[in-house]
Amino acid sequence: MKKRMDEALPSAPTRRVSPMVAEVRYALHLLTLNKLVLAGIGLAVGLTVLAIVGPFFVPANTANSINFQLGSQSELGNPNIGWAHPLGVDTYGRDMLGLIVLALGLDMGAAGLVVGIGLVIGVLLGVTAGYLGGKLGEAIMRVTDIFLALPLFIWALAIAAVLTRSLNSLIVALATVSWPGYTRIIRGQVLVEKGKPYVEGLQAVGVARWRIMLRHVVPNSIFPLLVQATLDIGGVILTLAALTFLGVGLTPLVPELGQMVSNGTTYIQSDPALITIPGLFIVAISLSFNLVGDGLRDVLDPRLRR
Amino acid sequence: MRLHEYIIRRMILLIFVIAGVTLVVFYLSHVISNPLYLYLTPKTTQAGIQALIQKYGLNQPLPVQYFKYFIGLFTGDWGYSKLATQPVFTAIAERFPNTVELAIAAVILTIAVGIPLGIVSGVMNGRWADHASRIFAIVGVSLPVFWLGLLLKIFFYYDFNVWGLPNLPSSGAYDTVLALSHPAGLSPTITGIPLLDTLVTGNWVMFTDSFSHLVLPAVTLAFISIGNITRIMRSSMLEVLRQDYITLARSKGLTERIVIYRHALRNAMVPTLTVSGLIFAGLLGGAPITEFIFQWPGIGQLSINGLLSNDLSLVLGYVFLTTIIIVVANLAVDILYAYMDPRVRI
Repeated sequence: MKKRMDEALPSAPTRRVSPMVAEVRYALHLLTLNKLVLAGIGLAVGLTVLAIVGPFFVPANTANSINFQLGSQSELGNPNIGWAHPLGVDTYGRDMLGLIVLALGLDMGAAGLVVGIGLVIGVLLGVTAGYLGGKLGEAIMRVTDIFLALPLFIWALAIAAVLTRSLNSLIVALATVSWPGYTRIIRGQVLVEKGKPYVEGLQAVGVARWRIMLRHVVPNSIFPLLVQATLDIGGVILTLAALTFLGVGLTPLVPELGQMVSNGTTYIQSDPALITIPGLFIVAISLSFNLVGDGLRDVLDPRLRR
Repeated sequence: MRLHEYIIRRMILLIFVIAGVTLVVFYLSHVISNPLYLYLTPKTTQAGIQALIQKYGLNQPLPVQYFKYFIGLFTGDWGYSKLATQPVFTAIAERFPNTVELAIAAVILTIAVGIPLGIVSGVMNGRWADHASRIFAIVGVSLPVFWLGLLLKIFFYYDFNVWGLPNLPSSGAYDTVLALSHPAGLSPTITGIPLLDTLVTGNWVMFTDSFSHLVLPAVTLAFISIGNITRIMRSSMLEVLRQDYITLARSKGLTERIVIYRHALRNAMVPTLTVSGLIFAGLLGGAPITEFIFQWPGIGQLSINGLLSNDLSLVLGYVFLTTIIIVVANLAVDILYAYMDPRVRI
């Protein structure tokens, strides 16, 4: 295995590139060696493109065009439904394919937002705690410890339940528990980086503290965070879908994958496709990000690279 | 830092965690929602509302109300559940044994499948068995538990029914009709755990019935956690196999079998068992989704129903209990680690 990687190394760069760019290139190169990771990347990119471009091809009123008569005979392959609805219709008689395309954007957008909010809060707090340290740093880490100790799902469930039913409430509920992991990771990284000789060197030549932090320490500390964030997108999608499945998050007509599975349970006996199809898309999103995250971890963790 | 200092520090943190969690949920439930709804019926008059406010002290300042609630949590007064029509503490205590039964079954399954898979994966690093078990693990952690539960239900209950095969029951912890009609009935409660009670009293009809009810929810829960266990077992196996003492053991001429199972496994098991413990603790806090899907009469299902019917005192009680279980389990694990590895205490 080791031999193969060495052989496949890109030839020595002719142009001088910064060590970080070289590192990223090397990591990307290693990443493409793993077929499973490649499949994950392909799936993730495909789903993202579908979520962004797809809605332009979905009729505007798809989510609201309720037709109970059609819905009552929603079985997949029913000749009455035919090619107008390739994946059939849901319990409300709405086009399943159109709903799924809309739901993909909603689910992935919400998960991206949750992880994004978590990253911003996590990085700000973690870098402050790690770089400045002292009483403030200690206080930040104790609060982080409290949040880390929360039972995540129960917490999100309770928050989502007491807030009004909307996507925003769900995002708030999930974001409140998404940051502490990042804070802990980046603080550890910053502490390690801070002790390295180059920081001392930069200080010696008179570079401002904040500049050292933003331009040098943070970029060098960010990789492990990216791995965690990628894995978390898969996890957040699952939690989000679980919340809406249980009926604490949204109203039944919102095109969201967990909500669609939940709607489908009414016809669990006569038309299980109403459950299996939206569920497959949840699995696809979560699996693709988990594969990429797993691959990233293997590549970015120097211990596993040896 | 000495070990006892570390423990005391963590204990103080624990109090803050519990206070913090209950405070936030209490605040949200009393500010965004109105606790008065719990006690209102369509017939409540204006005077009745005033009486209710007086009775439950809802006109007192929030901090006072919270303080009373917090004290109540430790004296067994968790409020009244409108949904279960009994005190929250009793409602949770009654259903807890069912949750324990499900948690134990799921953890046994998880360990029995996950650990061997992880060992194979670690020892066969890079070969097809490794790839297969890694794919299995990653699919496991990517599956939404509610969807997996529904699929199992569709296949083993509805489809088996259609094909005329003996189907697995998909709701409840035992057949209530059978329990009523069977001469012995459901055994007298000793532990409250159906499987254990029927076994102790030798009630085979109800025992097999409880067991068949347990299969689907336990498999659902186990499937989700097997991936975690396998990954951790694999990585710690790889880590240990790189150590010098393994090379030494091999150089002494020991067979690969003895090197792996006697020398490597013992050390590689530590992190895996820790995580198993945490998974078990998590399951003791109830598996709301799985219990909901299979109508399992545990605390998870109770709390979901509480949420859906706005029974906030029930939800608050449930959040309190699960937080304590998980936080104490985490603490136990950390203390164990701190005991074994002094570097943690820094």
